[in-house]
Amino acid sequence: MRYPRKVRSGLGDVLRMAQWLVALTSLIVCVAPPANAGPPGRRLSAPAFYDQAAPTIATVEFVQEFVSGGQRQQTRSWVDGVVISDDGLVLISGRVRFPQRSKGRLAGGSLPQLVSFSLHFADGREHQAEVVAFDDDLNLGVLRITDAEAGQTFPHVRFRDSFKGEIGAGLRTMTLYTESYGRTPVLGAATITAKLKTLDNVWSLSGVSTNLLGAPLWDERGAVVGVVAQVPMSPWAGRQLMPDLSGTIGLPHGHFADFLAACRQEDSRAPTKGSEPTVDKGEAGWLGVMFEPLGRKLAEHLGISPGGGVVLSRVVPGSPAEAAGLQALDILVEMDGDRIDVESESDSAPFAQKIRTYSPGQVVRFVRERASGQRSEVAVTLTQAPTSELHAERREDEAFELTVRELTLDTRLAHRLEPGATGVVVDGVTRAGWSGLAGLKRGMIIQRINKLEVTDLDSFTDAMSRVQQTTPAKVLFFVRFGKTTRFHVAEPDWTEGQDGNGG
Amino acid sequence: MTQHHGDAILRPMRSSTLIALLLALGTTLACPGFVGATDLQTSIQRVEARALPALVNIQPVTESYTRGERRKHASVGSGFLIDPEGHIVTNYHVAGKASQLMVTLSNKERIEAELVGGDPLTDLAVIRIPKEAVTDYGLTPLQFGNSAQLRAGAFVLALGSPLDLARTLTFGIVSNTERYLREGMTLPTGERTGEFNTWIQTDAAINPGNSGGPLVNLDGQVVGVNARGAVLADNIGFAIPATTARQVVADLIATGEVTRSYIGVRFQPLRDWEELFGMEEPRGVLISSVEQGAPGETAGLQAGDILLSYGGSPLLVRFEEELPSLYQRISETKVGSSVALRVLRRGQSEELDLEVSTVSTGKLSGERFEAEAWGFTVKEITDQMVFDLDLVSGDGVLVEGVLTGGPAHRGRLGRGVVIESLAGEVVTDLESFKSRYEELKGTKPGAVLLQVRAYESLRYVLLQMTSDSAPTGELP
Repeated sequence: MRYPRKVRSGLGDVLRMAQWLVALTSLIVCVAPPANAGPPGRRLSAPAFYDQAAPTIATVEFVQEFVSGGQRQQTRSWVDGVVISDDGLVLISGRVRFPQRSKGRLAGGSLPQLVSFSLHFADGREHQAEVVAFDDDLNLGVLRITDAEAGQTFPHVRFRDSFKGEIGAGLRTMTLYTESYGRTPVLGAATITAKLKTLDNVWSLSGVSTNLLGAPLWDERGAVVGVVAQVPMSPWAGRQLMPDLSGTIGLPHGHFADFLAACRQEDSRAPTKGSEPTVDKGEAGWLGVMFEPLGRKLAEHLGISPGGGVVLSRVVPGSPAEAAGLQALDILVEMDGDRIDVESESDSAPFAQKIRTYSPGQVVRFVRERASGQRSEVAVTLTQAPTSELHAERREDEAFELTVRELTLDTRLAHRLEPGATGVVVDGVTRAGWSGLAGLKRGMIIQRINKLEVTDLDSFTDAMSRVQQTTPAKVLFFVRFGKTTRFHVAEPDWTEGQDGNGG
Repeated sequence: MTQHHGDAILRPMRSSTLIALLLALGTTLACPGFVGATDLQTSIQRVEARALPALVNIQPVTESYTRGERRKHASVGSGFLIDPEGHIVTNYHVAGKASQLMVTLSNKERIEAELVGGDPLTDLAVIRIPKEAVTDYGLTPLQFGNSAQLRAGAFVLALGSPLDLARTLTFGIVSNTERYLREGMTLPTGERTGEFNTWIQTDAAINPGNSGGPLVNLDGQVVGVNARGAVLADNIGFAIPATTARQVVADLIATGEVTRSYIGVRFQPLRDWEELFGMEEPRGVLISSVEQGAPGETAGLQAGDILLSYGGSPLLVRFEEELPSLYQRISETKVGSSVALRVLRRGQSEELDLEVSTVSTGKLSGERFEAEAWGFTVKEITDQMVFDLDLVSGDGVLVEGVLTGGPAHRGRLGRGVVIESLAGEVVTDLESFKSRYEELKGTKPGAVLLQVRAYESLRYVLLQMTSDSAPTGELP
């Protein structure tokens, strides 16, 4: 359930809302309009704003399917969405892609599949929707309403770019109560408490709770000027924009305007169901390094030119960085002519993000300095990022109640496997299933089943279908965990599915 | 429904504090007259008279380095005299890392003892009191019995200082003679243990403080060294068998250490899996894992091989209780000798003859050192640590602890990383670290650059000394 706190203390929230309204009003009085505010807009009174915004927001109910403990499960969760176009595009948080907390266990590292979306508006309208695209960096997504009648238009928000977002500026938020409270729209208020110099001027916010992640931020004229981008909550919320910062972040519209434009284009190009749920903004380039901020004191001590930089802690084997000759402890100070002005942990994310704006095949020129005083230029041709554990392909064996995934680079690095090592990774296993009773556990790497080598998902499937055909009394799994190997023997009961519960 | 069963925690039985509290909870139990078992009573009384004089209460002061500075800890354990020379057997986790040892004898006299040697892999240690004390106080040493002949059900007494209650006798039977323990195989001192022995399980009460005390039979012979008990369970205690202890103690007295052979091979019991490995009858033992670069790999052994014989004598290991004696047998091989192996390989009908050259296990854990001025402690890296901690090499020193608020902590030095270089010079071992530290520790205020490694990742750590980083002890 997404809104348990509201259900339990609805009255408290109403009172708090009233306090916020008072605070908001005083702020609006106090804050001078920005110097170049663009075309003059009319300040909307709170009740007028309420009436205008309420029909644009919906509770988005989404169903996720994932494999946990070797079994397929579904969870139903809710998130806020806002309609952004008259033909029914809906902006939501990218958190819907990640496992949600539920009564059952979280998915065992696997990315859940999004099975369905349904929208519930305060006025009783209900619609089905599907994914247009997600953006990993922004952690935002756009849905398209699929069951609109011909010519039907939707009340939607409009965006404003010229908003300056001064410190102390008040913003409006809106969410819906749960169904049992009649999906009443709830007005809220947020305040910009700081402007963070990193990430190109994002806002630190107060007055925003976790269920508003991805929700719009309105200015006093009733235009959307940003979204809530990060709220301290479970690590499952998705990519953390700023891992070091545990505050609430507001993302100005300028940051995601391109994404929305791309979604609109995508939508007009393929208005029917079944289009690819990705925006064609190109694959992100991959460098293949781990790094940390250089820090002023260390830079001074090593005699590195002032202005920031990153120290490479690891160069991934087989990566473009390795091919270009980068090494651990190299210090990168410039990237394509610009200083890498990373000084602290919180400055690091923009550097990583900037690399992802490049496409595979593009060349990035770094200036590298070393503790020895050597300064040189290094050109790296980026490649496509390797598949990660989260996105790895998975296969399921129902009889053995076992799910495996392909061996991805991040798993290799985590297990410190030598480059030639092969196998499939146990991703989920039912403890009382045949493979669970044999002692197979998540994270083990299956390298052989009976006499058949398992090098990848296909050879795993082959080996398991061979087992299915021959129905042996004992099945031998040879697994690796870290650097040790071990044998596990499953003793399947092949008569199990044949009697009793009718198939 | 999933059924939960409470997992008992196996814990070494060294006592620390909390004793007063536990005593306060104690109640008086009236003991009714016991008739009809006079023989048993006589036997127990004889054992008491025979064994109690050899019992000692050990009060070690041990040093820990895990918080980034050298810290002292006091605890309590037990031990027993085994010869007129003043040698006392106890657990490694009681005395193996003691910087100071005081013992209270059965006549309540308190004297100082010294450490002779310790063996973490069997959790045994030997300490010594002056032999004059043995004669002057008329102490009588205990003898080891033959634990191999022990049967479940045999009466036994545990002697020791549970909760520092010195000269305590508890009574029970041997519950099992060959218990194999999978859990709790790490000592409080950090080393792994228990690889080379099964355990004698007893229902004679074993509590914290019993560690190192003798488990004796009704002939007054030591059949085991009490070492651990199951917490959250009743009357489940474990002792190291006398046959293991006798050998280890002899080695420790002779050389101060136990030398073992090592081939870097892990085994699994064969159970009823013979068909899966191409055999009609169960033979040999299954090789489950071969450590890279170890003698076993050099010899050509592979995971999945069945080792049929070692040094000419055939093997059969079907159950995990049989594993410790196999590891023990390999460890007893003369270091550096060549041993003939016979192997059955999957998919091959021919048996292979291979030869393995053993190497010494070496030291399990390294010496420690406190870099006081910098607020961290380091440890020498031994070959076994390279394997246990999966380190990239044996070069450098391992950071064992970082003192909160110190220069290392401020510089974000982490526990468990390896220092590879110090102010531009390569650190090869603990000695090179120490000498470089002595040169540099006066650098204040100033900065010292470390290059550290965590597995495949490298980073710089800058230790910044401020003029006030070492407290002078003066009041403002």
